[in-house]
Amino acid sequence: MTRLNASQRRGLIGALLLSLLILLIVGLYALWGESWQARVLYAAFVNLIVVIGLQTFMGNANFAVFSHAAFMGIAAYAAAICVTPVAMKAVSLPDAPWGLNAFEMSPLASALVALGITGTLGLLTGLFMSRLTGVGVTIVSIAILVIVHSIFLHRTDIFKGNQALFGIPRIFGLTHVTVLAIVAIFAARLFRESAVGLRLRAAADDEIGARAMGVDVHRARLVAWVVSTLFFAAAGIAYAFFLGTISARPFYFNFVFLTVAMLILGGLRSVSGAVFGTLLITIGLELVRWLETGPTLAGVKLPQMLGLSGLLLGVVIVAVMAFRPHGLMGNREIEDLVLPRKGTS
Amino acid sequence: MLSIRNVTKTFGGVAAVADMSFEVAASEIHGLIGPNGAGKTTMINLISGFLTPNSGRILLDDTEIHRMPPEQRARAGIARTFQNLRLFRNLSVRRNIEVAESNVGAGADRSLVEEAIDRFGLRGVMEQTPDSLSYGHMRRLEIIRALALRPRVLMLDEPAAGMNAEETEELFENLEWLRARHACAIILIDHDLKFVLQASDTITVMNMGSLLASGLPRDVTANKEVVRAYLGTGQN
Repeated sequence: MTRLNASQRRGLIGALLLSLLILLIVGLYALWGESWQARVLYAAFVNLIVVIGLQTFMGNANFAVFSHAAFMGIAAYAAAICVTPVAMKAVSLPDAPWGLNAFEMSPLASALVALGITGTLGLLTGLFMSRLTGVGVTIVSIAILVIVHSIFLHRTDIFKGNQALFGIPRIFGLTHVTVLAIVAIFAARLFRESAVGLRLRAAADDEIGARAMGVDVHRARLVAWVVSTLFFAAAGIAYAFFLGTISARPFYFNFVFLTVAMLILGGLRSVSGAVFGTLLITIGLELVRWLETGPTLAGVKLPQMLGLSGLLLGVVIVAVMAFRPHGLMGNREIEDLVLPRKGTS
Repeated sequence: MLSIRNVTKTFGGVAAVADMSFEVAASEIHGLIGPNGAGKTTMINLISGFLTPNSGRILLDDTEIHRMPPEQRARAGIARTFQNLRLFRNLSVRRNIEVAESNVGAGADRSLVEEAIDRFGLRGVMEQTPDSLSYGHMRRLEIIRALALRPRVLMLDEPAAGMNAEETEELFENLEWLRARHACAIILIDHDLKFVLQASDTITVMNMGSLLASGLPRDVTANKEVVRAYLGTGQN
């Protein structure tokens, strides 16, 4: 392995600081948390892996994409179908074609199959995504989301549509997803500071300038696209392995909107921004959900305000776009806040 | 080393470059001059790969490069700067340079870029983004970034634009240093005729997309056609 350059060393420090933040949150939960909060934390960390995956493509290549929920869903279903015992599949997937209900695999093998299938689809879609520019990328990503969702809905013999695919062994707990989130943070920071990440960011700033410096822009975009689908796959696997049941509905626009809002709030150019955005929106949504039920606050009984959470996400996106278009972090990473670079003014 | 052979480029039936041929030798500074609209920048775009000729050939040594995409030509040793700066605005000066360096082999001369950073006066601003630099520093950064490709041919499109006499003189000295230090050919386009004549070993004069004259600076300035088309028009 070649020696790390200064930016990559700083990237590792930044990833370490973000990991400590994650561990601090888990530590606080372990000391004082209530059991229902484990579920909130788990969901937050699954979302975090997705938002970090979004950052690797959206943030470095500077394209808006909305297909991530589709890749997450593909991995979740693939892992679920592989890992669910045959006896359970006889009940949950009685009509499955191609012998899908006639085999079962270990959790590790199931996860690898899910990663492989998602990565392959990432590569195939990436071959044309990497050649599109501007709004074309966004539109095709929405098309991918809609196509995959309608397959989930209408191939009920495999995916059960809006009904739950149940009986998935519940293999993962908070520890697993914490480790995964930390791995994702390190992977995303190292990718951002790698040669490919650097070339991609250069091309996002000035594609012609980057090509004149020898950057193969299509190749860099393809690599980033495939890497980002692997993050989504990891999140999908973690989702299926924790909940034990999955259905098509969560892998669609609501989830896309939630995760994009998290990235935009934090700042899409920064991995630290992805982490902060995810944590802030998670906390914000928990507060809003509590407010929605109409609690009594300082002796005043508040009215029920259902739908407030959707409003919050919309307001966050509009407010950030209007007042801080580069998000809370802009181009900065967490280590820039604590260790200023030499030679900056 | 670099051969342009009968290259033609038309846009909608109008020839921006018509049957141009010239040669650039290793380690020479080659001035490319001509009035506005003569096709100089089109020529640079044809050599660097942002345009493909309709006919004719471009060779680097004996390799045909005129069908390669720009990034492949860059890695083969054709580097350029732009008339309108194309720096990476969200990357630090250091990272701007590293983008180019990431595309050269591990065996490249590491000290070349470090020396250029000191010589061009960018050492103190390495962690800043280009937006915070003076215009002169941005121009110099573009040259260093191109140099980081360890080019065999370095094309500078209007490097002295917007510079005062003192900065132009400094640029001239830096080009002399560059040629001595790195031994690459330099193609120089600029409106500052005095600067180009002073800096170049040979000159190619273009007019309306065609070759008007070529040769040593003193021969070119004595050419009546050149005087009529270009020098007589009150250019500085």
